[in-house]
Amino acid sequence: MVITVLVSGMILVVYFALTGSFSYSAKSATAREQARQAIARMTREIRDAEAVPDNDEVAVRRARQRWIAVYTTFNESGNSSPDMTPHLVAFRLYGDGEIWRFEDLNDDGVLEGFDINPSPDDQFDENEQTSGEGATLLVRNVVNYDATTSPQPPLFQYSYVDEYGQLQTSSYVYYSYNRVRILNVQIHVLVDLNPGHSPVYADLQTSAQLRNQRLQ
Amino acid sequence: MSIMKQIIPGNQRGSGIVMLLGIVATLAVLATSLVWIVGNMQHNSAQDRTRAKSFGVTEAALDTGMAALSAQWPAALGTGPDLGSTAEATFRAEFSSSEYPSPAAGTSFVTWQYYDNQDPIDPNITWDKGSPEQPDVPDNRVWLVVQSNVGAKSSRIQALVERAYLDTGLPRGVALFAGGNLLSNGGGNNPKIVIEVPPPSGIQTTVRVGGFIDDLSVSATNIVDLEGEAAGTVDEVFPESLREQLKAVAQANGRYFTSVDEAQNSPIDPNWSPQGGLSGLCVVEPSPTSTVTLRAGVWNSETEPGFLLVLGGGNIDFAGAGEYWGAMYTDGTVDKGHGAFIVHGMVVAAALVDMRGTVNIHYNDNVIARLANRWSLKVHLVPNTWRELQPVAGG
Repeated sequence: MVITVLVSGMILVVYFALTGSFSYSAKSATAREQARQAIARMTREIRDAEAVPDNDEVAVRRARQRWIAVYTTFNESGNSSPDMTPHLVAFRLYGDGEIWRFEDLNDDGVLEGFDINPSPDDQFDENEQTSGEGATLLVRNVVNYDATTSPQPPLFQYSYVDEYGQLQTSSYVYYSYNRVRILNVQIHVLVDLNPGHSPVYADLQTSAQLRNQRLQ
Repeated sequence: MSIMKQIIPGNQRGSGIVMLLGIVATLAVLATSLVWIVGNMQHNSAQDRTRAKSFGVTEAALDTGMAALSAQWPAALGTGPDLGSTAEATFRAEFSSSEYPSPAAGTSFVTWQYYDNQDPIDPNITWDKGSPEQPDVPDNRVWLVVQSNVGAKSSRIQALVERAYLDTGLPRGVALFAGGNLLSNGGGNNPKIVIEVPPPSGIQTTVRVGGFIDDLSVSATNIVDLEGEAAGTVDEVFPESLREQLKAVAQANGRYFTSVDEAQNSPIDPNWSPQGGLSGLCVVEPSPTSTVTLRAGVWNSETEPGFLLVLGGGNIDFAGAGEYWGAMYTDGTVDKGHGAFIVHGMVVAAALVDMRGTVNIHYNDNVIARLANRWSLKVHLVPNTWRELQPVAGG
């Protein structure tokens, strides 16, 4: 009897350990995959950013630490036509650790339900996630700005040439005359693969060179 | 009889093994799922890597296409570069097939297309015919579309490219510059320096001589002679930066020579030397220093003028009834020559110019103006026209 209980107990311990391991592996694999796809999506859209000469907007409409808004025709059917006007796309990281993508689907130059001028710069209403035009969730559990993360890496950093010809790197680039000289955007996504438990990070970094603003 | 048999009723014997089998089966399912998930992740990683490689190859192909257009701009129907199967094979050879797998049979590794920037676009106009505003006035711009197919992944990029000219920045209205003296005689052949095509209104045609002019009747009366300091310096007329630039371009395009014979016998290059020899862009830096003699014949034309630079202290001389259309420069001297030679354009010599022979200089402003956009140095992207497109099947 004792041996039966011991053997059964050991089997159950192994069983629960393995199912736990499976659960973690499956969830972390999914999270890692989502994070990688999100960063790939952001990179491809940002590097394709294109100015809109007709309304005098530069390619990068907003360049902030936790969000970015650019004009692009990426992934638009028929964008081989030079007549296609780039439309606005934004990526924003909310306080709940989710990165959302917004898109100006009706091409009216405005992202309805999305605050393009938040004050302060990095505080947003999470209701945008449901009311924002073209809102799509890209990835969850982004912990760049989590209280337990130290140091806190900026989601977006920008390298641009200032008015003196010096290369600057900053998480905030204001005014169109500076934004038009952004050469590349560094993207750093820190995703917690084990939310609710001891954090296990997927640390993904990449850089998007703005093809339409690079030095010739 | 064992203890187990004593304490477990007969109809419950073997329950342990049943439980064990159930757990093992469950774990087997989980293990299989895990293997599947890991395999799926690895597959996705491989797909990502292939997509990134495909994009890298496409950008390389874009650069290659621009280089081809730079070397051979499609100024007229059928004059552009051939970016067909030979170009593809050459390009493909730059990438190992193990690292950059070939696409499915029947699909090219890379394809290039270029066509004019008409409005609307017509991909059949494969030369710089016009612009969106003026369909028949070339604007030095064409669309370049590149697609690469690596393994199962494809990338496609489109950009408007523009050719940038070799900017000579030659001053208008300078028929002759001599850093030293201008030797001439008062014979009946004067004037030998005349205006064939005048510079734009408001610009005076001049003969600039750092030393003195033997006989002022060497230039026509409508030409202003400037002597001494008033003549300026050779760098003001034919800057060292321009000489260095022309030398670098000539070196890059097989038009730089260190022997006079080599220059005079150089082959035809449709872009850089339409007649071969001293035609087109020709930079000679003879070692040891020697003289480049232009003999009977006609080099270049008013519509396609040339540059002849003799560097390293070499001299220029003439013999026979020849004609040269373009600009000549020498670090050394210009000899008086023999025969009735005519230079249509301008002559610049860092030292003495001897015009006691029968050489004539006909200042031709059309020639000087056309030298400003005679050759394209490079092709660059027009800002704000780069787009990543959705790949097309078989494209």
